[in-house]
Amino acid sequence: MTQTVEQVGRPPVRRAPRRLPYLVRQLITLLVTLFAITIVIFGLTAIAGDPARDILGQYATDAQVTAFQQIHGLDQPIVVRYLEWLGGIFRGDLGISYQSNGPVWDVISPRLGPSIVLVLFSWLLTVVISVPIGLYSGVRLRGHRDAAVTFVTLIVAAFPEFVLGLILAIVLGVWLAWLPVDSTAVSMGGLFDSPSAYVLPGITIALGTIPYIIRLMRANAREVASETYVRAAVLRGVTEPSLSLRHILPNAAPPVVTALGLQFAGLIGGVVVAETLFGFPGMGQLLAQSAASRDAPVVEALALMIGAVFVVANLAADAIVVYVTPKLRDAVR
Amino acid sequence: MTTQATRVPAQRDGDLAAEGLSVGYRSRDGLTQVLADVSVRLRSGRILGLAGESGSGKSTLALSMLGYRVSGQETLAGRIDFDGRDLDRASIKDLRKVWGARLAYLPQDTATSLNPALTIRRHFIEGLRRHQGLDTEEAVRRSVEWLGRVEIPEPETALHKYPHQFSGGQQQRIALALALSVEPEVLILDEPTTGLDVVTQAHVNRLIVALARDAGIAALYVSHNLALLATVCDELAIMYAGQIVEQGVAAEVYAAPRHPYTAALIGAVPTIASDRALHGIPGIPRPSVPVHVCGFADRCGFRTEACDTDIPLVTLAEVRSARCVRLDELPPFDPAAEPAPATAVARSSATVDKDADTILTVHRVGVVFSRPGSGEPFVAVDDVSVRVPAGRALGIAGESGSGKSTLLRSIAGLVRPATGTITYRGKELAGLAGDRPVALRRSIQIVFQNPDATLNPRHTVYQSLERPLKLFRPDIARRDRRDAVAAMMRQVRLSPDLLDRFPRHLSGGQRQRVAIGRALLAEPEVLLCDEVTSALDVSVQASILELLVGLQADRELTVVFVTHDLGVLRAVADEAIILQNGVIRESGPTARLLRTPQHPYTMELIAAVPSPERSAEFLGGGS
Amino acid sequence: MTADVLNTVTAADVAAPRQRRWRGFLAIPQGGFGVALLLLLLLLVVIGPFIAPDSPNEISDQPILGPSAQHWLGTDAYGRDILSRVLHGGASVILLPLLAVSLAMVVATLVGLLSGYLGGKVDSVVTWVINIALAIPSYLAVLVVVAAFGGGGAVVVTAVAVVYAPYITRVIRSATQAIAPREFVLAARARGESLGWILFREITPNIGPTLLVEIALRFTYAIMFIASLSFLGLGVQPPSSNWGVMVAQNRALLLVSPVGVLVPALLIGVLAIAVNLIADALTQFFGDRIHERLMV
Ligand SMILES: Nc1ncnc2c1ncn2[C@@H]1O[C@H](COP(=O)(O)OP(=O)(O)OP(=O)(O)O)[C@@H](O)[C@H]1O
Ligand code: SF4
Ligand SMILES: [Mg+2]
Repeated sequence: MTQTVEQVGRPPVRRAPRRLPYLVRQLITLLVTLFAITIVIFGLTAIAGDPARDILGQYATDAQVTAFQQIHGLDQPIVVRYLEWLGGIFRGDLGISYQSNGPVWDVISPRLGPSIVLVLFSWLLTVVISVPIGLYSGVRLRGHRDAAVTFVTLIVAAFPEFVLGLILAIVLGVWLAWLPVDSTAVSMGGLFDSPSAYVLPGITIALGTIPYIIRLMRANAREVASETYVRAAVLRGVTEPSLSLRHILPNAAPPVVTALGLQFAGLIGGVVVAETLFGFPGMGQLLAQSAASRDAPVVEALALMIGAVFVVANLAADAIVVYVTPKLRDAVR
Repeated sequence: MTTQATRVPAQRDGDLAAEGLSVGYRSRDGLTQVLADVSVRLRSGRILGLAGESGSGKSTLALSMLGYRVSGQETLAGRIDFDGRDLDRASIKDLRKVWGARLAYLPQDTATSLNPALTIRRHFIEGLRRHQGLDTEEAVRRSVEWLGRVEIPEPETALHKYPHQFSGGQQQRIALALALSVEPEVLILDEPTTGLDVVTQAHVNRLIVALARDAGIAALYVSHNLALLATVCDELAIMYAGQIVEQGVAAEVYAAPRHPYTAALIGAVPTIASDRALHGIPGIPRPSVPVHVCGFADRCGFRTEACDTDIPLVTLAEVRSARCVRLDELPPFDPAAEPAPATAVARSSATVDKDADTILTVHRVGVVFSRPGSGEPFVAVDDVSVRVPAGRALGIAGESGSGKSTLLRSIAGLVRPATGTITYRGKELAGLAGDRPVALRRSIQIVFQNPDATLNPRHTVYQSLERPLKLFRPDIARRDRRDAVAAMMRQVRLSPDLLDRFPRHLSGGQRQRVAIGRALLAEPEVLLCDEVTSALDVSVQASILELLVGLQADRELTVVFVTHDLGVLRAVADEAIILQNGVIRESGPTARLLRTPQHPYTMELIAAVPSPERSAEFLGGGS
Repeated sequence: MTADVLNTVTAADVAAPRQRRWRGFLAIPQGGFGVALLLLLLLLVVIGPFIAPDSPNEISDQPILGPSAQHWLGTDAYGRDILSRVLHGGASVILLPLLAVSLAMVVATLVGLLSGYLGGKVDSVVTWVINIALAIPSYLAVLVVVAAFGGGGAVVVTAVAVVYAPYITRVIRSATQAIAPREFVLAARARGESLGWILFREITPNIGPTLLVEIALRFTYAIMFIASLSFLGLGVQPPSSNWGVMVAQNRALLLVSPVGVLVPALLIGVLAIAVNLIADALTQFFGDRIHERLMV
C-alpha cells in the first residue's frame, strides 16, 4: 500500500540568481537596448551598400565617387566604420551630411528647440484632454452617450495625421483664417516669437494619440469600476469624486501611464507628418527630407536621438508605474 | 404570484426584510426573471443562512436586500423593508446614508474585496470619518481595535500595509473588520469564505459568527455549502431557481427536510462522518424562474400534474415553511433511502485487500517550479513515494498548493519530475508523455478539474471523443468509430444526440462526463482524476461521483482521485493520502484515516469540516 | 520593457469562439456600417478606372482649375483631371497595406505560436528580439530603411511588414500562452499528440478570433502608415495617382482649390475608418481583450 519514506533527500533546488536592484536592472536594460538600436540603425544603412553613386548621380566621375567615399569613410571595413561612428557619438561628432557636406550637428541643432517645444505641447495636450474624458466616460457614461464617445474616437483614430492636419488647416486656417497654415515663421526669431505657428501642428499631432489614450483610459476605468472592491466601496457609502479619483483612478492608471510614456517619443510619426505638412522647421521635417534624399548620416543621428528619448521615456514610465502600484513595488524589491 | 403565507413577526428597528420580492435582468434578449416572491426577514442577533446552487439567485437577493441594483436589474414586485422604508425605491442619496453605516456588505470574492491601491488605514478611516463622525486619530484607534478583534497580528503595522501583503484569509478578516467597524445593524455576507482553504474557512467562519452574535447584528449568510450553513446559522432558507423552497430553524431543516429538493440536496452532500450513500439529482439546476410550474418539477421524483402551477409557500410552523403542493403525501426524510432510479455511491471500508498488485509506483518523486516573475524555485512535490494497488481507488487530499495536482500531472507525463522515478507495472516511465511508448500513454489517462476548459471549445463532442480512438485503438475500424463513441456516450449517461454539439452547448456536468468518456475510450488501466467535481454543483457532483464509482467497479479500473474535499474523498477512495506542502502527512484506508487520524494536520483538516451535528464544537473549537 | 509586468493576458481575455451567427456581427452598428462603407469604397476602386473621364496622367486642360462641370474636382498643377486621378488612385492605397499585413501575419503567426507554446529558450530569444524591436518607434525604423534603400512601394511594403511583425508576434504569443495551459491542450499532450496537431488543431482555432481582430487592426494602421509615407514622398512615387501622393502634390493648391486636396485625403480617411470600424466590431463580437491588455 501507500507508504511514506522518511525524507532522506529532497529535489535539488537551484539557487535563484541574486537579483540586482530594480533601478540597476532598468539601467542595464536601457544600455543594452540603446546598444541594440545603434546596431540596427547602422546595420540597416550598411547592408544597403554604397550610396555614393545614388547620391552623386550617374554622371559623377570616378574621382568624385572616390572622394565622396573617403570623406565619409565608406572605403573602410564595416566594423571599423561602426566603431568610428559609435566613437564619434561619444565625442559629439555625428559625421558629415551627404547633402550639406557640413557636420551633421550643424544641420540638426537649429531644429532641436522648436521640435522639443512642439512635442511637449502636443503631449501635454494629449494628457490634459484624454485622461479626464477617458475616466469620465469609463466610470459615468453609459448607453448612447458612451457609444458616442467611442464612435468619435474610432473615427478620429482612423484619420492619418496628414488628413487631420489638412482638415484643420482648411477649417481653421483657410476658412476661418484664425491660424497660419504655414509654420515656417518658427525658424525666424526666438523660440517663442511666433506661438501661433505651433498651434496647428501641435493639435494635429495630439489628435493622432488622443483617441487612443481616451479609449485606453476608458476601457481600464470601466474594468476597474466593475471590480468587486469598487462595488464594496459603493456599499460602504463612498461617493464621488472620491470613488473615481481615489478608488478607481489609481488602479486604472498604470497602463495609461505606460502608454503615455510610449507616446512621448511615439509622437515622432505625427511630428514628421505634421512638420512636413505645415512646413514647420523641426527635426521631423528634416528626418523626412533626409530620408527622401538618402542623407544617411543625418537620418542615423536623428534616429539615434529619438530612439534614445523613446527608450528613456519608456523606462521612466515603467518606473512610475512600478512606483504607483503597491503590488509591483513589492515585487521588484 | 404573491402568495404570502409566512407569518410575519412584529417588525423591529434594525430588521431588514424582503417582502414578496421578484427581480429580473433585462438584456438584449428580453427579461429573465431570477427571483420570484422571495420573503426573508433578518432579525437582530440572528444569522439567516441562504443556501442554493449556482445561479439560483443568491447573490441577486443579497445585493437587492441592500437596495443595490446592477445595471439591467429590475424589480418586478415586492419591497425591501428597513425601518418601514422601502430600500428598493429609496433615492441614491438616502441609500448612501445607510450603506456602510447601518447596512454592511462582505462580497463574494476574497481576493478582490479590498482595493489593491489603498492602504488598510485608508479603507478604515474613510467610513469611520464619514459615518461615525470620528476624527482621524479616533478612527485609527478604532481600526486598530477591530483588526485586533479579527486576530490580525500587529494591528498598528498592519494599518500601513496594502491588501496584497496579507494572505487570503487575513484579507477576508480585514474586510470583516472593515464592515463591522462602523457598528452596522445588518450584515450581508455573500460567500465570504469561498475560495479559502478549509482550515482558514473554519477560522473566518468562527470569527464571523462570534462577532455577529456579539454585536447583536442581523445577518444574511449566503453560501452554496449547505452543511456549512446548517452549522453556523440560526435559520436556513433554501433557494432553488429564484424561489425560497424551504425555510426554518437550521438544525430542523437539515435533520428533517420537508421539500423534495432540500431532501435530495442533503442526500447529495458528501460527508466524512458516515458511509451514507451519495445520490445525485438528475438534471441540472435552472438559472431562472420558470413560468407557472414548480421550479424543481423537471428534476423532482414526486412530480404530478398538480405541480404544474404557481406553487405557494406553505407555512408549517412558526418559522417553518416550504413550497411544494405534495408536502402531506411525501415520505418522511430518510438519508439512507435509495432514490427512485437507484444508483448510488457507497464505498464500504470493509475489504482492504492487503496484497493487491501494485500497478503504479511513485518513488521519491520531487517536482520543482520556478515562481513566475522572480524565478525563485519552489518545491511543489517533495520526495513523495506512493504505491498504487491495481483495481482500487486511491484518493489524494490536501489544501490548495499542497502539490496534489502536480503529483498527478507528473504521473500523467505533463510535468517532468526533478528527481525520482515513476514505474508502471515495473517499467520506468519517461518524464514527459510524448516520450512514452503508445501503449503506456494509452494505459494512463487523465481527467481534469475545469469543465470549461477540459474540451476544446472548437471541437465537437464527437471530434473530441474520436481522437483517442485514432491514436490508441487501431483495432476499431474507422467506420466503427462512431458506434464506439456513441456506446461510450451511453456509458457515461449522455445521449448520443449530443455528439455533434460544441462544448458551449453542454452543461458543466455533461462536459465532465464527456471528458471521462474521452479518457475511457482509450481503454486505460489507470484513470487519473484531478478535482473532477470541484467546479460542479453538489447535486451534479454526486451524480458524477456515482458514475465514476460505478465505472471503476465495472471495469476494475485503478483510479487516482485528487480532491480538496474530505467528504468526496470518503465517497470515492478506498485508500487515501493527505498531502501538505508537497509532503505526505498521512496515508491509509480512507474510513480509518478519517475516523482516527494520527497526524495533527489531518486532525486539523477534519476539525475544519463543518458538521451540523457538532455545530457547537465547530464554532467553539480552535479559537 | 514597456511594463511587461502589466501585460498579463489570461484565457478570459482571448476572444471566445464564435457564439453568435455572423448576422450578429452585422447587427453591431460599427460592423454593419463598416462593412457597408468598405464595400462602397471597394466598388469605387474597382470600377473607378472604367468610369474615369480621362486617363490619370493625361494633361487634359489648363493647370489649377477649380471645380467645374467638365472637371468636377478641378485640375492639378500639371493640368490633369483630379477626378480621374482619384478614380484611378485607390488600388495601391488598399493593396500595399494588404500585402504588408499579409506578409507580417504569416511570419508572426508561426513565430508567435511556436514561442508561446514551447516557452523556454525559444521564447526567451523571441521575447528579447521583440522587446528590442518595440524599442524603436515604427516611423523611425521605416525612415531609416528608406534612407538606406531608397523609397518606393516595394521597400515600404517590406519595411512596414518587418516593423509590424514583432507587434503581431507579441499578440499571437500572448494569446497562445493563455491557451496553452488550458486543460484540453494538456489532455492533447498527455495523449502524446504531435506538435503540429497541438499548434494547428488545438490552439489555432481558439486564437482564430484574435487573429481576425489583429488583421483588421493592423490593416487599419498599415493603410494610415503607408498613405502617410506616400504623402511624405517616401512610398509610392509620382506620377502615380495614389491618393497619398495626390495629397502631397496638390497641397500647394490648398488656398486655391481645397477640394482637390480634400477629396483624396478624405477617401484615405474613410477607408481607414471603415476597416477600423470593422476591427472594433470584431473586438466586440468576439469579446477580445488581448489588444486592450497589450495596449496595441
Ligand atoms: N448582471 C446580470 N445580468 C443578467 N443576468 C444576471 C446578472 N447577474 C446574474 N444574472 C443571472 O441571474 C441568475 C442568478 O444569479 P446570481 O448571481 O444571483 O446567482 P447565485 O446563486 O449567486 O450564483 P453563484 O453561486 O454562482 O454565485 C443567474 O442565472 C445569472 O446568470
Ligand atoms: S411541487 Fe411537485 S414538482 Fe415541485 S417539489 Fe413538490 S412534488 Fe416536486
Ligand atoms: Mg453568488
